[in-house]
Amino acid sequence: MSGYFIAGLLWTVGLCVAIWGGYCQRRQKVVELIALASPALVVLWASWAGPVESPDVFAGSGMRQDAFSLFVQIFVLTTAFCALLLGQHLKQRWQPGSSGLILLSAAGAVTLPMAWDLIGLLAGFVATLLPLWGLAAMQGTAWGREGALKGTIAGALGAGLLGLGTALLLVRTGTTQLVGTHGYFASAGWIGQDPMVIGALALLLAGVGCFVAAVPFHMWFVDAVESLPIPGALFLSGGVMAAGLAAVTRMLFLGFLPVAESGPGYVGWIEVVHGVGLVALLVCNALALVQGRLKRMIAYLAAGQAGMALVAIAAAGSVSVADASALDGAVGAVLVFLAVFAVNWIGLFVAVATIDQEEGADPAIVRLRGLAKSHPGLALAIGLSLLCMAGMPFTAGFFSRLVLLETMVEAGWLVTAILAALSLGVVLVMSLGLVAAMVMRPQGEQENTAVSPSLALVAVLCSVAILLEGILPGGLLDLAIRSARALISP
Amino acid sequence: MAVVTLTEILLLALPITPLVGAFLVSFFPAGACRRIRALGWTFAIATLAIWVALKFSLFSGQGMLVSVEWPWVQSLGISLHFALDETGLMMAGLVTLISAAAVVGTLPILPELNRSHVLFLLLAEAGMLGVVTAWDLMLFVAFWEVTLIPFFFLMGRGPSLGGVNAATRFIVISVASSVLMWVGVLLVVQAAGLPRTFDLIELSRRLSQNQAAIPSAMWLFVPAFLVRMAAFPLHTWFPVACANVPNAASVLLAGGVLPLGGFGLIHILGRLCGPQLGGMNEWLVWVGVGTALGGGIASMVQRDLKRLLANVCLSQMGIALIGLSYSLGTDLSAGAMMLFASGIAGATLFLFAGVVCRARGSQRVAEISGLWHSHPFFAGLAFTAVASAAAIPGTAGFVGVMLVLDGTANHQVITLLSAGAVLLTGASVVWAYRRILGGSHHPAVWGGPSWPRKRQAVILAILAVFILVCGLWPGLMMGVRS
Repeated sequence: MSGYFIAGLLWTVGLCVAIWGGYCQRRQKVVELIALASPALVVLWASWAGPVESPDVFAGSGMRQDAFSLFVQIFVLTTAFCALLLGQHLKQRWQPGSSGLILLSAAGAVTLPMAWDLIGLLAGFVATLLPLWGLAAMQGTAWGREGALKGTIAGALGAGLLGLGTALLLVRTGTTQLVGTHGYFASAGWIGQDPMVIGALALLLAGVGCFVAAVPFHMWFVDAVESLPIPGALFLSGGVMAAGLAAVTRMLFLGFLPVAESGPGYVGWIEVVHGVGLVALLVCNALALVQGRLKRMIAYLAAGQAGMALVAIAAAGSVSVADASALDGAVGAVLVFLAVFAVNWIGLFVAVATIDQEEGADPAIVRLRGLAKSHPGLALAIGLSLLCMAGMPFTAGFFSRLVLLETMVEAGWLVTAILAALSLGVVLVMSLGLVAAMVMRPQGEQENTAVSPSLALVAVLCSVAILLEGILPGGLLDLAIRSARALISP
Repeated sequence: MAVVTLTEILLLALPITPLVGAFLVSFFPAGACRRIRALGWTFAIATLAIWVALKFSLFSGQGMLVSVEWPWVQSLGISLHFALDETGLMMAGLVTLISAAAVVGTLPILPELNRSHVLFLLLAEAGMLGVVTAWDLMLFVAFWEVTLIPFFFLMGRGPSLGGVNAATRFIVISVASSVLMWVGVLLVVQAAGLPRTFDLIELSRRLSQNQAAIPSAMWLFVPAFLVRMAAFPLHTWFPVACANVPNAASVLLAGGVLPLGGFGLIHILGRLCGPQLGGMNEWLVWVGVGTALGGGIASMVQRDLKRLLANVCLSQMGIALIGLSYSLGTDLSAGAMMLFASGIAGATLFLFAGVVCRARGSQRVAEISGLWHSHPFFAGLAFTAVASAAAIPGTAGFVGVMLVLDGTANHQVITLLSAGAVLLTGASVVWAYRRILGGSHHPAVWGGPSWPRKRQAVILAILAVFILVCGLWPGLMMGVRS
């Protein structure tokens, strides 16, 4: 399926829905249905069409639609679809035109894994995040404006760093295309003597780190998730995060594999990404433990899981440098993790939608108490998502964590693997605490939330996906490995 | 591979039957107590019946008795490999018996929790049977971890926060240890080379040619097993749990979880490392000695009946660990029999104590007295379990302790310390039993005439008979090794 078509369809529908929703009050239901249909259509079409045999190169060779990008797009758009469904659950609290902004953001997110050019990557990040800041600001509340402001500042910082790094690299290499930079580094030999190149690499890493909320740039992300309405928060922390991490994977492997390892006078990206990811994993998971608000807790968990993905990307880099034939399996592990991550977050936001009473506010975790009694089906779906996040057996999370830890062990990072496994233990303890609150604690004084069909549908879809991938994971694993082959293939 | 024989069907039915029961129970309304109970009983007893059928069909076998295998995740080399050998069959018998006793003989802490009580008991049974029958390392890890969830709910549900705190402590320490096992599993699989496999038999075959890769990975397994065995110094969760959690949970913890920790040592370390455990054997023996002595001494000073019994169980696990350490990779009879004996005695004692403490409304030994005057038959039923814990001849405990002490004959200090621990434990449990039976009887302080339920007495009687039969005819459980 053409990359132009996917991004164009989403962008056009998103723009139309945003304008129509903002200025015309008629036929809102039809407009919402069109908004819902567009990501669903793309996912169904892509699933029906099967794997991409020959890549579709466009935008002056700066973008390429292949099996890798299609794999990422499928779960990003699934997240967008579920976010729009959750928007239907919010009814009056979901402002007209907001679905259009989600679609515009999704249009940006699907370009991220297609980017074979640093300019395309930068444009993709900006196009993904700008509509979400608009969504936050549209709420008209103080926390919404604050989140939008922080997000915009962080986005500007990220764009500035990434743009400056790209410019420096362009001066030295003469290209912004990742294949070109790869060729330059492969032939350049020792880059420790060139401070401009080292500075460019540092700026690029800082820029993409800012966009994927890597420590120490995670603070904006937590505030932004808290301030966004539920569908926006879900798409930011699930879909956008996964697409961003996939784009980072492509950027590092396609453009910078020759400088993956440290040399005299410079530190390779493997060590930088490894260190940043490990700190994010440990710090953010620990911070999630002490949160009293659900969206904030989920945001910290997302930043922690992003840290896990960064460690896995670094481990995959290390494995690939040692043995190029191992790249498929190692990057496939990262892809499986990102897919499960996106699905997992849908389930967690079902929890937020279930106990959310006031638009934009972050519900207290104690409101989950007694949910198993009042909404047993929803409690089951939320419990499954929580256990999946902790990597419990017979959920999708089990195998995604297994392949990630295996990559770390293959890279010889035993201590990292142990720390990552222990941090998963922390997540499990926290998850069981939340499940215990739902099952064992009496319900508080809060009113029961009515379960809308759209909320129930999201809960069912998410639960089925988590169980299916937990019991029969072979298909997803094979598809991820096949898709990973397209990561750097010419 | 197609399932063709009856024994293979029975093998698969072992973990699946309680799972199906739990699934069906979840559809009943919470208020349908009688139907839920009937369904729970049916599936728990059916699982026990399946084990009996397996036992008699495999009685004369040796080595791998029955095995079924299908690929699960081919790209990762993970298979659905279920199998049983003699030790596994023995442990499956323990789990099915104890689970049936817990489902039939215990009551939910609150009447409205009846559905979840039965549901989580059946799920716990399914998980434990999965652990016993899994012969793929990743399948084993999956069942090992997933068993935590029903136990968390069994332990944590109740009117007080004590159970939740105990459950949380158990989960935290279990999770911390089992995530290390994850990494250990991956190291072992990596050391075994390509093509990647998690199959225990294939792994042990490959690793027997590459023993140098084993020891460092094996140390990552040990904490997981020692935590479940409640071995010193990872034992602290167990007495707290037994004193605070509902009776069903304490029965399963003492009779199922603790022995399965030891079974993990046999099943995984014994197979992957063979007899060449390096320094690990000696280290584990001293851990066992510490646990046995510590449990024995601690039980002497306890005034809370359930804590006292928990320490008795700890001491017996210590003895079992000594037996396992000396027999890992060679003959497993001593440790396995001790695990079985301590599991069944512990479960019986906790079942008895749970009924008595609930009726009395107190767990303090000093406040429970005169049982012989009011309920002589019921009190007498617990005697065989007390005798087994004290290693009195004619009981399963005696056989287990004698096999372990026989195995330590060349290490006189160990023998002496182990025998001392057995004496301490026996003295404390007999002292507590005497206090409960004797003393003055005050009918007013007991919880009315409605206890014990008939089914509780019947279950206790069956367990008592089983302890005696295993003591007089150890070959029933130990198969050809006897």
